[in-house]
Amino acid sequence: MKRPIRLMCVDDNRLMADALERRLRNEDGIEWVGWVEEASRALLAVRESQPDVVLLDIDMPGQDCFELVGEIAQIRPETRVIMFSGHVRADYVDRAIDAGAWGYASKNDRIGDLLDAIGRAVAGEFVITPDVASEYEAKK
Amino acid sequence: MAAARTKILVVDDLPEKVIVYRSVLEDDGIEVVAASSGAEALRRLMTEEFAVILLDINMPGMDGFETASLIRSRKKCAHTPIIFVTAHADELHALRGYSYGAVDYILAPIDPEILRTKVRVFVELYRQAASRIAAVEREWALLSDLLDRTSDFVVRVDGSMKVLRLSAAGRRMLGYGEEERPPVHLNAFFEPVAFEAMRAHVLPAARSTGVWLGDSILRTRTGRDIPVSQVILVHTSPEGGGESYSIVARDISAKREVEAELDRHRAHLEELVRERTSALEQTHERLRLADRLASIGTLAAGLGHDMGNLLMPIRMRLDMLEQMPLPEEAQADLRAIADACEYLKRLSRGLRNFALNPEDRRASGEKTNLSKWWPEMAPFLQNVLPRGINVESDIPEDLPNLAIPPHVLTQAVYNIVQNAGDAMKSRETGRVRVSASRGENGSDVIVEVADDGPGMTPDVLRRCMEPLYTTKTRTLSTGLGLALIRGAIHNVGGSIDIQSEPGRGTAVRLAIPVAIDGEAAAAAGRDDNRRVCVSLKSVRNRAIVRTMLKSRGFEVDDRPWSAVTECSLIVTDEVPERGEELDEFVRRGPNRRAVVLGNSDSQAVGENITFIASNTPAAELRTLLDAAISCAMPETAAGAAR
Repeated sequence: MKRPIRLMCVDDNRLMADALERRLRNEDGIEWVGWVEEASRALLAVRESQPDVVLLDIDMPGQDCFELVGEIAQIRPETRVIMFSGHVRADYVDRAIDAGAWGYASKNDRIGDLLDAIGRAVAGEFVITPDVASEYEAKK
Repeated sequence: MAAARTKILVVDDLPEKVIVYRSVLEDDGIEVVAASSGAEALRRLMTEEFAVILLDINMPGMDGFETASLIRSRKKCAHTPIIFVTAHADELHALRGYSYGAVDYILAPIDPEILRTKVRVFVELYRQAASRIAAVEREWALLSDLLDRTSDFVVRVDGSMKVLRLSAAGRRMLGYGEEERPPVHLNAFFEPVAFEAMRAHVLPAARSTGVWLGDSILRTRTGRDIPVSQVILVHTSPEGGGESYSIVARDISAKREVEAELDRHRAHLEELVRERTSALEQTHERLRLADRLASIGTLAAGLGHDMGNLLMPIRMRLDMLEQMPLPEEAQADLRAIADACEYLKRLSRGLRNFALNPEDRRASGEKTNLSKWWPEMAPFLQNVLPRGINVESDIPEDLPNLAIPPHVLTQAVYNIVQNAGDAMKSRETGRVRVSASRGENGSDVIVEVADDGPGMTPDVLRRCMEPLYTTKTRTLSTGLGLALIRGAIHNVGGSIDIQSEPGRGTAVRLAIPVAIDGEAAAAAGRDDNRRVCVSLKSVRNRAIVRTMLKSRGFEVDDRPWSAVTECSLIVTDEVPERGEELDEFVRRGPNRRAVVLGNSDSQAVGENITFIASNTPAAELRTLLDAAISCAMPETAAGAAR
């Protein structure tokens, strides 16, 4: 059996993080390695916990999260960052690509779509969830 | 030069008496003219003027009285003094003589001194009168000359408006020649209404004050009207016999033209000011509306985002709960909660569609898939309608994408439905039906919002798309207004049409162009041309390029590109090691293109091969891919350009 995917969540919304942890803790193939509430602590946490995938909220106080993607890639290139947000905009997707993220997931999508995206990102794909895809398609 | 001698007429049938008169009366200043009969005297009087007439009463034929009577009856000499001469000093004769207008008489035989004295009195009177008349005539000539030299129209009329005299300038002004005789009645000189006003109002006013100043209108011989400023003077004859008038008028048409020109300028200026003010007000109002829309959009989008963020944890926990072994009732409750969450999620996504101002050009180019859009839209519409008014819909699944950004369509339909709701506010029940169908020409889709409300009167219907026109009191709404909806729909190349009749409801039809996109082209059966071979060693680049191409409706072939023959575009990073093979692929068809992603632009690439640096920003990469696609697949170029 494959090694479970080590997943970290960087989000300032405790309700979101708690629910995510609760939902994924028992999910086969996912190993919950922790929740980081403050963006400023994200780099340290990545270094310590060595996650395979980071779900990174894009609007957190005090930090440009697109920059954070590049910094994570520098200290640990194997970690794949997926932007995770309620903001769904084609230009944000482009910024995520440019920053070196491996995907963009919408908080409006189903949890199943999110899990699918995590798996595919680890397999080497650049992933966008259905809600993001419909927005991105609309933009020429 | 000696003055001409004053003539006196002596009428006597006896030549010897004439000789006496001559000797007594004739001197340097007096010439005696003799007539031997009454008839001859009358003849003389026809052509000559005399200071006094000495008339013998007893003459054969016509006697002195008879002659005097005839003399008096002639106007020319009615006032010439007559001195009767008679030998019979009886009173009767003298009285008869006076009754014929004689002024004096002398008895014969004549006393030369008396004769001389009497005649001289009359001669002196005559001379004084003649000198006064000459002075008056000189003065009159001067005045007359003055009158004719003035450039004004001057006319003298009597009390019955008969023309007594018209100045030379007056004649010229009215177009009468030197030899021509102008009309005798004043009305011929004036424009009829102006004349009537003068006759009825101006002259009575002038008579009370003696003078009147004001404007009037003259009419020339040829019927041309001349505006004039005029002065009317009223003259009252001292002997009675009524009034006469002098009218002095000056042509003011040049002044009038200048005034009219000034008026035109002023009116033009006022019109300009009005236009500019109105344009400014409309711009201001549009800006205000646009500003409000943007604010509301931002607010709505933020709300939608936060709602989504909060729903996510709820949905996740529900997800877990649903997997637990729970009693049937609890499961039903959970499903109901999940349904509510699903509804809220759609609401949240719909709110996101308000994020942008429909007039924001940056948003252009986005497409709307109606069957995806409608489920997000529907919950809102029910919310803006009063209780009892239901939304019905008929949105077929198979309609093509529309060339309109979703938020623009959302705002348009939302506002139209809101209007329908407002119109049916007082009703118990009603319906609003949103439907979509292919337009007749196939290049657009008709989105119709129809209600069974009160409808609009023709006047309201005619004006309802004017900016700022409303039949409602102004309250806070999204405030788009039909004018802004029309502007937004026009921006995407569509049109808006409203059918309405009082009592028969209103139907607003939006004709929106179909987006010519990849999916539509694929549906049209050009699958081969929608195929792109992506052969990239970098997993991430491959994934990104695939995502981009798929978002444009292309089919992506991941096989090694040498194995793919039925595509016309290759995106690869396997150059230069396989550069020759790529060259050959491009040469096999006129529209074949290749895009090479690499680390530097020094790589050798051939004709129809585009190089893109692999660190190109994503937005730019998409543009470059678009350009390569439009060369390789010209029939989709139109779609890409839209």
